[in-house]
Amino acid sequence: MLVSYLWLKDFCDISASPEEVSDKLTSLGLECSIIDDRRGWYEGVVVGKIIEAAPHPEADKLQVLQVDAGGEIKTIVCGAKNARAGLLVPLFPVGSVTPDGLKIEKRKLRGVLSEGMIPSEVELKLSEDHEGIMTLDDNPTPGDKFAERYEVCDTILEIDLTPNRGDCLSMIGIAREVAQGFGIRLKKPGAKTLGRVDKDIASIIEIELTAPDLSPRYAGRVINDVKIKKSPFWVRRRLQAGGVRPINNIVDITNYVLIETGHPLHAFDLDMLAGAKVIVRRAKDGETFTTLDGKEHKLTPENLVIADTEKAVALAGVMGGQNSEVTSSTENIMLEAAYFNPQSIRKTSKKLNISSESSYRFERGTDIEGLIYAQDRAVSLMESTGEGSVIDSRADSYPERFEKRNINLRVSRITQILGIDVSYDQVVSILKGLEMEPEKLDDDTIAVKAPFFRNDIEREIDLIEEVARCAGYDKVPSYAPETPVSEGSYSHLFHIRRLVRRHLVSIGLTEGMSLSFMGDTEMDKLQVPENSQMRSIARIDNPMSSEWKNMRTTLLPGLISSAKGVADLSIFETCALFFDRGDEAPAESWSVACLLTETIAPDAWSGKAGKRDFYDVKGVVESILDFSGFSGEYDFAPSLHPFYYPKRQADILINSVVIGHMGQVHPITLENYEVDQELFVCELNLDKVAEQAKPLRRHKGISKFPSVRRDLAVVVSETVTSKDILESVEKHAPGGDVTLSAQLFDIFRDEKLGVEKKSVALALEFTDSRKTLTDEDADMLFSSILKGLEKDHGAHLR
Amino acid sequence: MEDLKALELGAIEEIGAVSTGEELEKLRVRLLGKKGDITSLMKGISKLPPDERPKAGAEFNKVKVSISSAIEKKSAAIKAQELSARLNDEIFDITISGKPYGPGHFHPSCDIMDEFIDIFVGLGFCVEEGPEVETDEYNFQRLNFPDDHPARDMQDTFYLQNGKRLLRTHTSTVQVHTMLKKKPPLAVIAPGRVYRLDSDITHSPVFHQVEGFLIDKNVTFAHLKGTLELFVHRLYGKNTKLRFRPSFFPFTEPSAEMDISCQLCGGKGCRLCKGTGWIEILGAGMIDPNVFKAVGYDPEEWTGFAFGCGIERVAMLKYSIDDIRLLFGNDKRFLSQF
Ligand SMILES: [Zn+2]
Repeated sequence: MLVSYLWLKDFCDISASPEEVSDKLTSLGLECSIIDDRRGWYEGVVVGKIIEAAPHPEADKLQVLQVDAGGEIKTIVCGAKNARAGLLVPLFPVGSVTPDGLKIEKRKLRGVLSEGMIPSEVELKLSEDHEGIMTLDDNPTPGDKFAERYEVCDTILEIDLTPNRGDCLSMIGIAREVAQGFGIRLKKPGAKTLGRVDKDIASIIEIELTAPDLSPRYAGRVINDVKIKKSPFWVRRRLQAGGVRPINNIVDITNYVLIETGHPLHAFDLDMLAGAKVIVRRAKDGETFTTLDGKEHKLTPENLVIADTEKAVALAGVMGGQNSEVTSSTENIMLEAAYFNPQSIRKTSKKLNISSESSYRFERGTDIEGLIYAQDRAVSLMESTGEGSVIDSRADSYPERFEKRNINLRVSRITQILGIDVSYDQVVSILKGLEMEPEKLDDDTIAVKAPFFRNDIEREIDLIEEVARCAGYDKVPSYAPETPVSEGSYSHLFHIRRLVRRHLVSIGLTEGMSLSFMGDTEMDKLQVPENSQMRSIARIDNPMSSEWKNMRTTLLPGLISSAKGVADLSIFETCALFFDRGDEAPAESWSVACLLTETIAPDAWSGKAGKRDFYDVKGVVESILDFSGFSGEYDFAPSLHPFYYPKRQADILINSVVIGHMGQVHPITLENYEVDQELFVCELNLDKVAEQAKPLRRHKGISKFPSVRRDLAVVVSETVTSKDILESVEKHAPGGDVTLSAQLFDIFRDEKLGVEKKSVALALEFTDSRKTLTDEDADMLFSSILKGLEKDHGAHLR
Repeated sequence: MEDLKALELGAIEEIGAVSTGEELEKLRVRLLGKKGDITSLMKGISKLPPDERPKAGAEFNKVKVSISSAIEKKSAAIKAQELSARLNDEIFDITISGKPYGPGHFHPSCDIMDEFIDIFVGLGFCVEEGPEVETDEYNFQRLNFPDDHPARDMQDTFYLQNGKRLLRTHTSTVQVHTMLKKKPPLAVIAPGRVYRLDSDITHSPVFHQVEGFLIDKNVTFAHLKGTLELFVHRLYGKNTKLRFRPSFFPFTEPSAEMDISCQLCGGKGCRLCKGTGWIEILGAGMIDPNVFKAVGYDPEEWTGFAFGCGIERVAMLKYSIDDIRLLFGNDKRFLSQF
């Protein structure tokens, strides 16, 4: 909503500056800022009268004008075609400065000295009209100061209105707030007409409401013999201040009153209405209608139309029709002022995708009683600017009168909600300032009638809010609740997620974040198999782009894309994933995914670039699970995900439940994402991690006796895994008082070992809880383990 | 014996004068060695009468101990001096970067969200979360957004399943879920992802909110102000000023927007705060009685406040980020700055 500061002065005697008005409105809940400030503009500009216009002796397109600037005659060289003797114009004399900062100087134009400049409206920044020089109406006297004679040095405030305040979509509505804020009186301009034509309206037009639920009131007035022309400057100026483009005097007045009162009006060319009848009806199914903007719409009975006996002439409350619009040849006018059901207007506007100044206001609720004032105000202005004759009576169909809402307000309840003490009298005074009608019921209760223009006031709490904002939120004290309501806690899943995030950052990964969407091709690019759960995609009905059509089922594509062209990256993301389940709500589960590039940037110390491999990402996975308290409870199993190298991948299990997967990204997947280095990734389902019971831990006693270490290197076939060996070692551990810890520390391959053979080195550490082990004891334990490995895996000592 | 006394005095003096470890070692050999001065002087004992010998022997020993201890002391002093000289003369560059040990970087939005949550958990709020896919009922109707009301235009919505479901437009949905599940009193903080059809340099179709609410008997607007003041002072420091302006949200009444004094200019007015000295930081209000009725709470018995804050906006203000897409770009060059 754009608000002209000078226009506001029509309705209340403001002494406050635009800045003070802006701050006051903001404090009342109408967020306000100054967007155009013309105070001090047009200094030196005077009214001039062209008394002579002669052709320039040296140039065809120029004229030499003699301009009366109030006693002084100036010579002005001018290029505008419309310049002629007799016109009253604004004049920039020598020494004045244009709004664009151009300083006017004496200068010779093709040999003739020009002593000033006559501007166009564009040069004055008053409109988009650059067809020649501006001419002045309203009979000013030459020499008058332009800035004082016309309302041009305005300040425009922009208000970011919340959807509940339809009443403030008008100058009067804003003025009411300003008046209440500064404690001054609100005055409304007159709406009387002068030339009365005593003729019965019923003989000209009859109104028939066939859907009173959608249009409870419809009023029409008629003006005969109007002259369609350009509106006077003051009307055009105010429309422009309100952000509306001037069209002609009749349409401009409907818009002027719309801005002033907030009530939409529509002017029909009366001679285009057949049958002397206005019928407000639901559209027929399939009925077509062409709106003012030339667009054709197919209607349904959900849409309300204004019709004559033959055809629809307007889409009620939304937009008029081409077939009845006011044109330059219009002579007689029917002016509509009506109340339409807000929900119905909104439905039509949404369905047909048309939004207008009218529909915007109707859908926020208008004033069913105030529409008469708006109509009369418009008729009186049309009469004065359009020189028509107004028919005195009104056609008004309002079958069921609206009642004002009665709301009981308890003063004690105000204290209960706001925590402030307000007096009964203070509350009454605030309510009166808002044009409510308060009446005392008892010492605590006030019966309040809310005016029709405040559609948002329905309940006691709405009135409490009014009291709060008018008293000022800064009057409410501020104190924290004395005792906490609850103990303060994190949910289990939230806790796990945060633990994992903090751990990953502390081991050197960077936390990333991306949108929750993915495109249609993502699954194929990643090489996700047809039967995978990742293909259970929840689709968005109204996506913003093709890349954002679907909800993500994996975090991998986002991470892989971010590795494109990046030398060294170790990144992770935690986010919810969505899996379609047909008619049910999609399943949501929290995921964490990590990505490591093969390349590590050369470190400043060794100067060498290191490389990461599968075991780096496996280490990350293990550390996540260890850190989350699953030490020793997880396992890895071979898996068959097509987006990994066939052999370099695994499913991750806790208590035999698969909670994720990891691997080296398949070369074709890499190619699809244009990544030219090896990537190692993992993705874990954090909901499943959180669901798994953590093992109860009991500590083991620490032996007082030293342990003995023996290194064991055995040659085995390549097919024997590290896990196989460690399991075998554990199986053949001595037990009893002796504990054994085994650690793999080297894998070595050499031709001499034989084809598909490897040497595996283990560190074995024996500890006895009751005595110091002797060398002989250790040798014995060592050889029993070696024998076991020989038996289980054909291992032999290297 | 006179000679012994002189020897001792001479030796102590010589030891004091020595300045290097080598010289001291040479001196030790000369004084205490097998062919040293004391040994040769001790040979004189045998010439003494037998009854004087023990006394003389003891005297010799005393001198020997005294000289050895002087040498030891001197030796320690020289070592300390030499070490200190060696360490002090060294040339060392402390400006070379440290060796790379993690940590990585937290995402700025997550970091701010964590900070918010910790403050409220410290004030006794419990973390609750809800689904991101919702129905119209939970996202709008139960939060007092009537059908076909212009308030719905405040939040352009993504729909799923032919309009049957939608992506939540705010974390206020968690209010409904929690109230249906639990009985008051309640103090809840609800972080999460939300979605709106909007994309430009300050709006992302996906962003994060933290919603908080407190319901109890006799909760007032003054408690809302007090709680948020505590929060802002913990987050931005005690000198930060707060301003509450009336506003409108369907699910709170009275509703407010909260501004804090601009952190960049301290309230004097600058480019960041558009000259106003204030920065809008969150929306809040008293929970609307209709929201209570929709979950079966009696609004005459219980009152409560709620607030919601967009995390990205706070992150952008805090780090002077002018394009929101940077927060969702997974760009290492950006992320490694935090
Ligand atoms: Zn500032």
